[in-house]
Amino acid sequence: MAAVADQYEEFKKLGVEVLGISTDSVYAHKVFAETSPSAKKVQYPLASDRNQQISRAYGVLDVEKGAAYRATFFIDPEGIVTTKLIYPREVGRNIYEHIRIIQGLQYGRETGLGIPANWVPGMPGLVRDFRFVGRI
Amino acid sequence: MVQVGQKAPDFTAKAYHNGKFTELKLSDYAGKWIMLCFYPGDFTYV
Repeated sequence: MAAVADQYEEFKKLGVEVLGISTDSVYAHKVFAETSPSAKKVQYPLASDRNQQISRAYGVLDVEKGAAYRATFFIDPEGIVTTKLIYPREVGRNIYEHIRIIQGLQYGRETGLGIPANWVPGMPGLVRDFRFVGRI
Repeated sequence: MVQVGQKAPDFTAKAYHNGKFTELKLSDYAGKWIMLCFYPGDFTYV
């Protein structure tokens, strides 16, 4: 979660509210934030899903471990889930891809254009026109 | 199980933020983009 903290300003600039959540207690979160060098920089709320209901509702509860998978959901201003990313336990997130997805979602919303593979800001979007189907 | 295109399930949870214990409600963030990050646990390697 420190990697998210490192890019927090970028998420703020994009108007994104960041929330971290695990099945740990808030007390564990407190000690974690106070003692772990990487967690000390976390500026966003760390929520406690102590009874695992939230992880369960989002379909990311590892019932064997009693813990959530490493997973990210992007929720749009209307409260709709636009994206779910589920990572292997052993592999950390690609935060730059998280930023790119948000930028793509926002750009697509503003312009009505499609977002091609490997798009980054500054690149054009795709016109969604039936005539282009099969021609790109 | 949440599907893309569906309403994000609302929830209320205790949270730790900026040195304080707070209560957080997802729907309080309505009108904003939200990045909700689940992680396996405090004090893990990754």
